[in-house]
Amino acid sequence: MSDDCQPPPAKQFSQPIYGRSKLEDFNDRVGAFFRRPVVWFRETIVVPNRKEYAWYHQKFPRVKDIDQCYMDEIDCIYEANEQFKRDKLVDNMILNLLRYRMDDCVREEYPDHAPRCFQLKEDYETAAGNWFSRYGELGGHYHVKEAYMRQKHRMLWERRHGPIGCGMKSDPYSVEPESH
Amino acid sequence: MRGLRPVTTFQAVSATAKMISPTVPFRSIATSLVRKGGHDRIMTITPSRYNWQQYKDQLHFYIFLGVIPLSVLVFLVNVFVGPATLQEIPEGYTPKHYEYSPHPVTRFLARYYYWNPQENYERNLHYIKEQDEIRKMRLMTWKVRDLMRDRGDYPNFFMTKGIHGKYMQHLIKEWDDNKFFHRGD
Repeated sequence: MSDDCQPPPAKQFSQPIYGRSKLEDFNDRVGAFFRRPVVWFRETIVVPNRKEYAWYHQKFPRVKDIDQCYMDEIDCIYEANEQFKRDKLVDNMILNLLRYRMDDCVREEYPDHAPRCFQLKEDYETAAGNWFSRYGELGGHYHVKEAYMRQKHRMLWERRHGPIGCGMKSDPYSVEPESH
Repeated sequence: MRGLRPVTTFQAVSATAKMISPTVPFRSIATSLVRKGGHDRIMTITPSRYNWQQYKDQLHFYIFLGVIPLSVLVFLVNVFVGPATLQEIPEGYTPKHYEYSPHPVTRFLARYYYWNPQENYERNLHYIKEQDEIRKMRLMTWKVRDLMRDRGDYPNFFMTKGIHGKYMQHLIKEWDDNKFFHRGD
């Protein structure tokens, strides 16, 4: 499978259009005065003397997660921990992108942002809640075992009290027929 | 008394200058600036210029050996070598570890200075696995030794007087079959 992530093309400065208004002309001329020597230097001296060579994005193959490792397989646990740290970096970036989209939408649509950016806001809030349930409150030196135990505790809490967000029951150990 | 004395006023200086032996005369700054030359050996009292000279030395050192060569190097690298372009990994090719950075200086450092992250990862994994195996062997050794101490049927760690261990095993088997005596485990 190939990634669809391509870097955006390099921005070229748009050519100024003279003749629309005096102020625009003045602005364009001042900009061109500073821009033209730099562009000339780059196009005549810099670009022809460079050789093109490649760099790549590293692809990490998936290894076993922590729930598939036996307790005495220390190498499996180490690899699961490294994979967890890499996944956390990726999820951080994903959450950042969702937040930037929401912020841009709000900034542009203000004061009509409430109905127009609602979907983006919902997406971000859901993603932030999921991120918190997976990676939140682990601290600086975290291990995937702690995250796994956190998941286990959350599932126990949900079994006793119901879905998260519906509140705690007064007697969590009361015998009730399980819904699932 | 020879040697310098800390003096502050002009009169004090000239008074002491007369008291001190004339073989090494010294005068204050005011008189020595006016009369220069001649064959007198004059020692001028001036405030220390050490800090100023040190400052000049260090300024020249860090600019001529630090700022200028590094700036020239960075300029040449950025202008004539330039950063790499992002491309897809070709089929069947494993990029080297330094080919994962775009800038030529980071590529250089990654290639010749820093360790290879893949190699470091695998070496760590091997070290952890080996230490874990040693640990498991030690735990087993201790368990076996404790069992030998409790049961007393092997003369390996502890020398117990009495029945030899191999006869002890037969006895224990008989006792277990007859359920007379159970050794703690």
